[in-house]
Amino acid sequence: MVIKVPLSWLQAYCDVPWPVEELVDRLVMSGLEVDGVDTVGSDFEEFVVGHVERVERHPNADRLSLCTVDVGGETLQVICGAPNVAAGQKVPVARVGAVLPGGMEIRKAKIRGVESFGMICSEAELNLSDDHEGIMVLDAAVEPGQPLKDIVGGPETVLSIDVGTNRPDCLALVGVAREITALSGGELRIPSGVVDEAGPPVDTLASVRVDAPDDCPRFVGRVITGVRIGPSPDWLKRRIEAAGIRSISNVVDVTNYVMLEMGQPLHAYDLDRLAGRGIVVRRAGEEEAFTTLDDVDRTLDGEVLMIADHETGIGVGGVMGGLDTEITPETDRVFLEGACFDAVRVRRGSKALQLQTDASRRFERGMDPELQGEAVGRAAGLIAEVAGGMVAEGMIDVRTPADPDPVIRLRTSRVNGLLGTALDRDEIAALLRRLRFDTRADGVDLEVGVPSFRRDVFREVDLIEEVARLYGYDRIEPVASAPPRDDTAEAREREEARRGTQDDQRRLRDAMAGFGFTEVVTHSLLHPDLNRLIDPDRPGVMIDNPLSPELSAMRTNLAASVLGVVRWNANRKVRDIRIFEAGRVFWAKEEGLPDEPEHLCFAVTGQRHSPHWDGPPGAFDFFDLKGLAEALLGRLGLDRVETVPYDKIDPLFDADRTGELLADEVRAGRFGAVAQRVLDHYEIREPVWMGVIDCGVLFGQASDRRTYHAPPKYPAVERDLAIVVPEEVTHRDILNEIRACSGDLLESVELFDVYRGTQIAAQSKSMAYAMRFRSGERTLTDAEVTRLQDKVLRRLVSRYRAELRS
Amino acid sequence: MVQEAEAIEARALEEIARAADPSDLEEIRIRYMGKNGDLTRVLRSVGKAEPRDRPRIGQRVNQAKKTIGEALEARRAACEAGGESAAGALDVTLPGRPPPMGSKHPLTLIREEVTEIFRDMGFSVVDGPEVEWDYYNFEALNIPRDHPARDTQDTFYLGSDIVLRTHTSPVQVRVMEQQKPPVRVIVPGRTYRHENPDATHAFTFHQCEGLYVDKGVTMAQLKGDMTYFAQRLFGGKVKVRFLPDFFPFTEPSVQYDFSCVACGGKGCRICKYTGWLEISGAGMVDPAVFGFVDYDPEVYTGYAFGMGLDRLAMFKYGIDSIHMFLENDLRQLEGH
Repeated sequence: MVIKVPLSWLQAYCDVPWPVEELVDRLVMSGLEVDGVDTVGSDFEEFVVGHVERVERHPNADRLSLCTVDVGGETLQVICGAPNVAAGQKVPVARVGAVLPGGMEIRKAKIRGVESFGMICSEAELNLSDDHEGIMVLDAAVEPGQPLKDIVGGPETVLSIDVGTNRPDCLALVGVAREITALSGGELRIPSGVVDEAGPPVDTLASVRVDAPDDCPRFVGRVITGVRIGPSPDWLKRRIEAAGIRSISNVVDVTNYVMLEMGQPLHAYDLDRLAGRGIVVRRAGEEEAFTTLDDVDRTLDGEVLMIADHETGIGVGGVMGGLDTEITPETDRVFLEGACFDAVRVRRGSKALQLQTDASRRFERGMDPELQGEAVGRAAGLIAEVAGGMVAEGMIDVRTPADPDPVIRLRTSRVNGLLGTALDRDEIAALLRRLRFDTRADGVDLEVGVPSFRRDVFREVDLIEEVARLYGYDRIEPVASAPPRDDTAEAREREEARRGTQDDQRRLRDAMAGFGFTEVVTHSLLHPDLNRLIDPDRPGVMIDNPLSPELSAMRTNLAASVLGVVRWNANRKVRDIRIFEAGRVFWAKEEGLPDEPEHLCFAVTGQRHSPHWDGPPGAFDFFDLKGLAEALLGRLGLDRVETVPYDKIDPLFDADRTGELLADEVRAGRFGAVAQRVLDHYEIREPVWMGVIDCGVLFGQASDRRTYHAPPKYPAVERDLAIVVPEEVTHRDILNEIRACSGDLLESVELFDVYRGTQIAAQSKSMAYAMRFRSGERTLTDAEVTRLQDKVLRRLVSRYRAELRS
Repeated sequence: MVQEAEAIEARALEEIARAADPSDLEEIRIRYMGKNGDLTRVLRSVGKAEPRDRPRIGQRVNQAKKTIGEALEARRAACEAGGESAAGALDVTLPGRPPPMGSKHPLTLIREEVTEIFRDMGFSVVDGPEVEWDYYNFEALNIPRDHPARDTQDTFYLGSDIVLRTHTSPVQVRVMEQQKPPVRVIVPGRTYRHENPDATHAFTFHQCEGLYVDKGVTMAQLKGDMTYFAQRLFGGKVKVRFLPDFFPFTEPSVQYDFSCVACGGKGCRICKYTGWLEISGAGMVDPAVFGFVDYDPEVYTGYAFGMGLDRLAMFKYGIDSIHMFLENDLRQLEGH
C-alpha cells in the first residue's frame, strides 16, 4: 500500500537532518521503499490573492466572463472561463509575468477582442491537486494582494512510500517519523491525545455495546457538541490534499488527517441521526441490506462485521460507513469512532463488498490496540479547534484486555548464526532500542519487549530482521557457501536423475535448432474453442476468473498456439517458416491437479531452404518431415524408430497424410499435413507440415550413451532387388520380409527407386532395393548370398504377389 | 614431337580455363583426346619415331594426356559446382548456400545459462506443476487465506483450492517434503499473475527459484552466492546490494539488486538513472515454512531467492520489451 508523505508535514513529528535524496536513500536501505518523490505547488512568484469585484459576460463569447479583480491597490481586468467564478470570491490570481507550475508564462493577452491582464487559477493549474473543475476559491478572510505563497505555502516535497503488508505502523506519518528517528537518533514528537473536555459527560450523550468482542477487541468513542460544519482551514486542506485525500468538510477532514497522522482510521457520525444515540457492534444478519457511503445498495452476510445503531446497520466495520448517519451541513453533535477491528473480519467484509478503502487496508494489516484512545482524543481536539464546539467529558472505551506486549528471548548466537555477522549483545541491544524495543541483558543474550505498535514482531527471527535492517545489509560481508555435501549414494542417484531430464530438454532443443528450427514460446492460456478444434475429446482445464475469453482455458495441445505463430508471421510476410515449441500441455483429470505432459510441436511452411540464386530448393514435403522426425528421435538416441500409418483419426492432420512415430514400438508422436479445416480456421493459405511428439516417451527412451563399433573385418556383398508389387503393399511390408528372411547377415537395405508407369502393370509399382550382406566371422560366398536373395524373393512373391522386375 | 605435345598441352590448358560449361569441355576433350584428336594423333605417331627416342616421347605425350585429362576433370567439377565466370575465376562474392540456421528462444538461452551457473555451484534443477494447490502456492509458504499479502499476487483460480502458481516458490515446499537437508535446488519455470498486460506487465512470466537448506546457512552466504551468480552472468564488475523487503516465507527478507549491467552503475535509461537493477526477492527461509515440512529450524537454516528470467534475459540480450518473449516475431528470433 502506497502512502504519500508531505515532507513539511512529516517534519512536525521529527527533524530530518538530511537532504531529500539522502533521506530517501536511508529509508530505502532500512526498509521503507520510496517509490517516488514529487513536488506539489510552486514558489508562486507573482501569484496573489484577488477579490472578484464584478463579473460580466464577455461581449464576444458566451462562456467567458470578464472579471474585475482587486489584487490589492490595483484593479485588473481578467478574462475567466470557469463557470464557478462569482463576484465576492477571493481567488488566486496569476499576474502578468507569473509562471504556472506547468511552465506556462502568463502574458497580457487579447481574448476575443478584449484584453486580459492575468489568470484566475484552478487547483490543478497551481499543481496543488488534480482538481481542475473550476477555479480555486480561497478562504473569505484572506486579503487582496496577499502573496499566494502565504496562504497555500511554497513548493511541497511529497514522498510516495510503498509500505509492505508487515508494517502497518508505517501507514502513518508518525510511523515514518519513528523510523527516521531510529536512523537519526533524533526526537520523536507524537501528537497528544489529551483534550480539553468542556462538555457534559459522554455517558449522558451516547452509548456503545460490542456484541462481537472477538471481531472488535476495542471500540473508543467521543462526542463533540455544537460543531459548525464547513470547509476546512487552508492548512488542513493543504496537508491532506498533498497526501492525496480530497477535502470534504472540516470534521471529515480531521478524521482523515488523524488517520494519515497516526494510522488509526476514524469515523464521524451525526449523533442525532443514530437511533437510540448508541452504537452496537455485531455480525450482519444473513442477507442484511445496507447502503454504503458511496451510495451503493449492498447485501451482507454473517461473515461481515456490522456497525449498527439501535435500529439498523450504519456501517461495515473497518470498511465504510453508511449514508444515513454521515455528517451533513446541519450536523450539530458528532460521535467519533476509533476502533480496533480484527484483521480477518475486516478483510472478509472488504471482500464481500468488493471494496477496499484506506481504512480497510489498514485494519487488514493489523491495528495497534493501544492507539484508539490517543487518536480519538487527538481528533476530538482538532474538531473543536477547526469546527468549534465542545468535547464531551471522558471517552467511551469498550475493550477486551489486549494480550500483554510480548517479551522475546533473543540469542546473540542466533543473530550471528543466521546473518553471518559478528555482533555482540550490546550492539544488538542498541540497535533494537533505537527502534523503541525494550531490551534487558540476560547473560550473553537479551530479553526484548515489543511495543504495541509492532504486532508484526512476535518471534526471535522477527527481531533478527529488525537488527539486520538497522545494522545495514550493506555491512554484511558476502561469503561463498560451503561446497555441496551430497555425499550419499542416494543423493547422487537423485542428482543423476534430475540432470538427465535437464540434459534431455537441452539436447532436444539443440537438435531442433540444429535442424534449422527457430524455437518459439507461447502462452499456456487460450480460447477453449482452439482446444476443441484440435483435440476435441480432451477434457480441458478452465480458469474461473479469466482476463478474457481468449485466455480462459489451459492449452491441451501445443499445435493451437504454434499455428497462431505461423499465422502471425505469415501475415508479416515471413515465408519459409520452421518453428518448434517444447512446453507443457494441461489435461484435466477426474480429480486433483491436471496432468502436465511436456510436448514438442514443430511446424514448417514453404521451401526446403531459403531461396538461392542458383535455383529454387523445392517445396518442403511429407518425406522431408518424416526424415526430420526420425532424425530427431535418432539424434536423441532412441532405438528402432519407425513410422507407421496412423490407424485412428487425428483432427489436426489430413487423414491421408499422417504418420505415427514408433520408438521401440511405443507410440511417440504423429506428424503430417495439417488438415485443411484447421488451416481454414486460422486463415493460413500455405500448406503447413507439423509434428507433435510426447516428450515423456522421448525422454523416457532417450540415451546419450554412445557405443562405437569396430570397423568390419570381412568384405560385404551387395545385391540389388527390383520387384513389382501391387500398389497397396507398403515399403514397410517389404522391409519387414527382407529383414525377417536374411537375419543377421543383412547389414543394410535401402530403397533407391520407386517407379510407376507404362512399363509395368497398372495398380502396381516397382520398388528397387540395394541390400548389403556381411558376416562378422567370415567372407560370404556368392552362392550363400544368392540363396538368401532367392529366399527373400520367394517370400515376397508368395506373400505380396511380387514379381521380379527384369 | 615432344615440342608438339608440349604446345598441344599448353593450348588445351588455355582452352580448358576459358571453357564456360561442361559442353565446352566435352568439345575440348574430343578435339584433343578423341579418336581423331590432336594428342591422339601424336600418340599414334610415336611408333614412327626412332626406337631409342620412343620411351622419352611416349612418356611426355602420356604426361600431356594426363595433365589435360586432370584439368578437364577439375574444370568440369568447378563448372558443375557453379558460380564460375567464363573468365575462369570463381566469383567468391556470390552468396553461399547457408545450412538452415535454427535458434533457441532467449528464455531458453537464459534458463540454460542460469542453470549452468547454479549447477556449478552445486544446485540441482527441479520442477513442479504450474497448476498448483493453494496449499503449496500460499498456505505452506506462510500466506494464510485471509492474509493481505495475497492481494500482492493477483491469482488465477481453478476452483477454490487450485491456482495457477503465482511464483515458483511452491516447489520449495514440494522438494523439502520429499528430501531431507541438505537441499540445494533451483526451479526455473513458468508463473502466472492475474494482471492485465501493459507496457511493463504480463500475465505469464518466467521465474527461477533457489533454495539452499543445511546446517549453518547464513545471509552472508546468500549474499556471497548471489554475487558469484551475478558476476558469472554479467561479468566480474557487477555488484550486489540487499535492501530490506518483506515476503511471508522468508525472514529476514531482502530485495536484491545488481549494479546496472548497461552503465556499470553510473546511471542510464536502463536503470532509470539509479545505477541499480532490481532483480528480485530473497531471504532466509521463514521458520514457519520449515514447520510445514517438518524441518527443525533450530538445526537447519536456509536461504531462498527468486529471479525473473524474463528480466535477466532483457538485461543480458538487450531486449527492451517484456512482450517480445511471447510475441514470437520470427524476424526477431531467427538466427540467434
